[in-house]
Amino acid sequence: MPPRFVTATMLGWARCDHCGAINRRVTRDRCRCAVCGATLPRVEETAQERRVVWALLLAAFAFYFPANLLPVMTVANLGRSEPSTLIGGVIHLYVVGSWGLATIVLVASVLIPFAKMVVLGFVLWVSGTRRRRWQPVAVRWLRWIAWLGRWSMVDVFVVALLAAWVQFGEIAAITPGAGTLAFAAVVVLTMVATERFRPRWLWWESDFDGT
Amino acid sequence: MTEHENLLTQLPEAQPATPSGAGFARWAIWLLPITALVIAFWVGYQAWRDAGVTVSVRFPTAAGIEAGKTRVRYKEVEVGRVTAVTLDPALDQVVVTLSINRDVARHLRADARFWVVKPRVTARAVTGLETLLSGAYITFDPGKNGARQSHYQGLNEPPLVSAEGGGKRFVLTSRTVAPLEVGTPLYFRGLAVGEVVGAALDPEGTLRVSVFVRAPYDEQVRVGSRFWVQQAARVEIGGRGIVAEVASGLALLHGGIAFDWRPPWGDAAQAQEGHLFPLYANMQEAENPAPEFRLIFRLRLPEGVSGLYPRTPVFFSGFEVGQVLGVLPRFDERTERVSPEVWIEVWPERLDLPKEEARVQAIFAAWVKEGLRAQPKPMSLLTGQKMIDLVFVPRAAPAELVWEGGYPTFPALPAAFDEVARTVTQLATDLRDAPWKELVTELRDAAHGLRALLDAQDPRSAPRQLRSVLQRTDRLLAGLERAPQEVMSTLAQVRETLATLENLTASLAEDWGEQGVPRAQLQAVLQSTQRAARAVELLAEALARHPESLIRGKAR
Ligand SMILES: [Zn+2]
Repeated sequence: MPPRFVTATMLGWARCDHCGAINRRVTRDRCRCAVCGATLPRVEETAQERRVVWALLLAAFAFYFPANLLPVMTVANLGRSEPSTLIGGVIHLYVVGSWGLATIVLVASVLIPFAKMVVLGFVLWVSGTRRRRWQPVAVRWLRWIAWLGRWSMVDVFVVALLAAWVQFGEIAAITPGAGTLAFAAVVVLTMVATERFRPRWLWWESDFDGT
Repeated sequence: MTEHENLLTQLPEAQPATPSGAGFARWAIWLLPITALVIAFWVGYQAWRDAGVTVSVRFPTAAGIEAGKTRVRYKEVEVGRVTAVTLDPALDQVVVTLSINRDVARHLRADARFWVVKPRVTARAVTGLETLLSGAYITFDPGKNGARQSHYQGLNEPPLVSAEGGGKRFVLTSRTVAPLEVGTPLYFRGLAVGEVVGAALDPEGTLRVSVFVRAPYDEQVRVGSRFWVQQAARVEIGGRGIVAEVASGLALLHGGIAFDWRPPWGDAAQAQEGHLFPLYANMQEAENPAPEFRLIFRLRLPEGVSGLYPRTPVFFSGFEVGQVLGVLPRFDERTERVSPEVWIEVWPERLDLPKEEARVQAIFAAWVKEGLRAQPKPMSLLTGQKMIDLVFVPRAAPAELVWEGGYPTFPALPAAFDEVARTVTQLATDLRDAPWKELVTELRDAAHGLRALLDAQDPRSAPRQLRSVLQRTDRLLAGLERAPQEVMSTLAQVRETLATLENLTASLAEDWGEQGVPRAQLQAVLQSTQRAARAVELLAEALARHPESLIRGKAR
C-alpha cells in the first residue's frame, strides 16, 4: 500500500528547522544542516522525543497537586498569617457569594492547566497508537492548548506582583508560597512539553521511511 | 518551478554530527518526572503533616468563634485553628471544626475536653494586647483515656481543673451573690494559693463556685475550713460598734475568697477533692455563720422604729438567735396608719432546739402563749443601733402566732428606750470629758517622786504628790457615779491602791531620817504606782476606742 503522503524523510531528505534548507541525508543518525549547522534529528529519534514529552508531562502532572493544595501565598495581616491555597480560595469565594469570580479562578487556574495536561496526554497517546480517526481532533486541541499556553502564567504573575506590592512589615505582607512555585512548574513544564511535541508525529506512520 | 525542481538533485549534503546519546541518556529523561514526583510527595507530606487533624466540637454557642480566625491553643501555644463553624441539624448546637497539628492531636484522648477561652480584662491584668486582637480562642485538656475521637462535646465553661502541677478542686455554695469571676484569687492567710475556676447557678438558685487550690496549700483545706468573700475593704457600723476589715495585698485591689481553719470550726482532716463548703459573705459571717435551718417570722410593730435594718440581730435570753431580714412599711386600712412590718429569721439551733420545723414552731407557739414577745431595744446607745429582743413578758395580753400568707406573725411590743438612751449619752459625754490625761500625768509624777525616794533624794515630796492624785481620783469617781460597773470598779481599784500607797509612803517619809528605808519595799511601791497609771491609761484608751463597751461591757 503506498503511503498517504510523502515526507522529506521518506525521500531521504531532512528539512532544517532553522534555515529551512532541505539537506540530503547521508546517515539515519543525527547530522547537521549544511547551510546553518543546526542539528537535524536522527530518524529514529521520534520515540525518544516522545519520551521527553511524556516525561515533561508527567512531571507537570506531579506538580499539579501541590500547586492546588499548597498555599500560593501567605497574607500576613496584623500579626495573623493566612495562607491561601488555590482550591481554598475558590471555596472561599464561593462561600462568600462571589460565585462568578470563583468560577473564573476555578476555570483559569485549576481546570485549564489540568485540561492542557489531559489534552497533551491524549495527543501523545494518539500519536503513539496512530488512530487516524482521532488525528484531526488531536491536532486541533493541540493548537488550542498551544494558544492557551501564553495566558497560563497569569496566576504566577499576580502573586509575584502582589508580593512585590504588599510589603508593609507587620501590618500586611504577602509572601509567595510553595504552591506558586509548583504552579509555575506545572505551567512551564506543560508549555515546554507542548513545545516539544511535533504535530507531525500524529501523521507519521511507524515505518514511513520505508524501513 | 522547473528550475527549482532541478534543485532537488543538487541538495546539500547534511554534515555528520556527534552521535546521539547512549542508552543511559535516553532513559535519563525519566528522572525528570521521578524527581517531580518525589518533590511533590515530599512537599505534600509536609503539607499533610502541618495541615493537622480535623476534630469537630459541639458548643452551645459560637460567640467569639470565627472560622479561619479563631485559634486553638494549648498552654498558650497555637496548635491549630477553627476551620468551620456550622449549626447541627437540630439547630440547637454549633459544630465547630478544628484543625489541630498532627503531633499535638496525637495526644488527644477520648475524654479530652474543649472549651472557649475569652479574653478577660480585669482589675488584675489586661491579658496581653495580642489577646485583645486575637479574641477568644479554644483550648483543651487532652485527657487521659481512650483513643482520639473525631467528635467531642465542648464544655460551656472552663473545666474545674485548670492547672497542672497538683492541687485540689472544691466547690463553694452560696445563696447570696458574690462578686466573683473565673480567676478571682483564693487566699489562705493573705497568700494567694488558688483561684476560682468556674461559677454557675444550680437549678435551686444556689451559686456554686468551683475553686482550685494549688499544691501544697490544698493540704490546708480541712473538712472544717470556712470560706468567705474577702472584699477589698468593708466598714460596717452596727450594734457591735464599727467593724473595719481591710484585705491584704492583691485582694485590696479586687477582692477575693479567703479560707482558714481554726480548732473550734471542727474536723481538721484534709478535705477531699470536690468537697462542698458554704461560702460566707464576709469574715464575721464565717466566724459566726447563720445556720441553714431557720424560721421566718413577721413582726407588726405598732409604730415606726428607726435603726432596724437587715442583719440587725435578734436576741433571746442573751443569745443571738437570728437577724432581721427586712423592714417594710404596711398601710393599715382600718386605722389608716403606716406601721413597719419587720421580717426576722430565727435560728433554732442557737437555742439548742431540735432541727425539726414542726416541733420548733410548736415550741415557739407555746412560748408566745406564755408571753414571749418581740421588742425592739437599743443595742448600742451611742450609734443608735437596735436589736430585736425576744422576751417573756409577765402578765402580757394574750396573743398567739398568727399564720398569714405562709408565715407566722409574732406578737410585738412597742419599742421604748428613749429615756435610757438619753442617760447613756450623758454618761458618755461625762466619761469623754473626764480628766483622764491629767490623772495619768499625776500618777506618772507620783511614780517619779517614788523613784526619787528610791534614789535617796528628798523623800517628802512623794506622799504629797500621791495625795493630790488621790484627791483627783476621788473627784473623778464622784463625777462618774452613773458609769457602768466595769469603769467604776477599775477606778475604785486604782483609788484603793493609791490610798494604800499614800499611807505607806507617808509612814516611810516619817521614818526617813531615823533609819534607812528598805529598798525592796520602795521598789514594790514604785511598781504599784506604775501599774495604777497604766490601768487608768488603758481604761481611757479603751473608752475612746470602743465607746459602746460602756453599754455592752468590754469589747470582745
Ligand atoms: Zn539550516
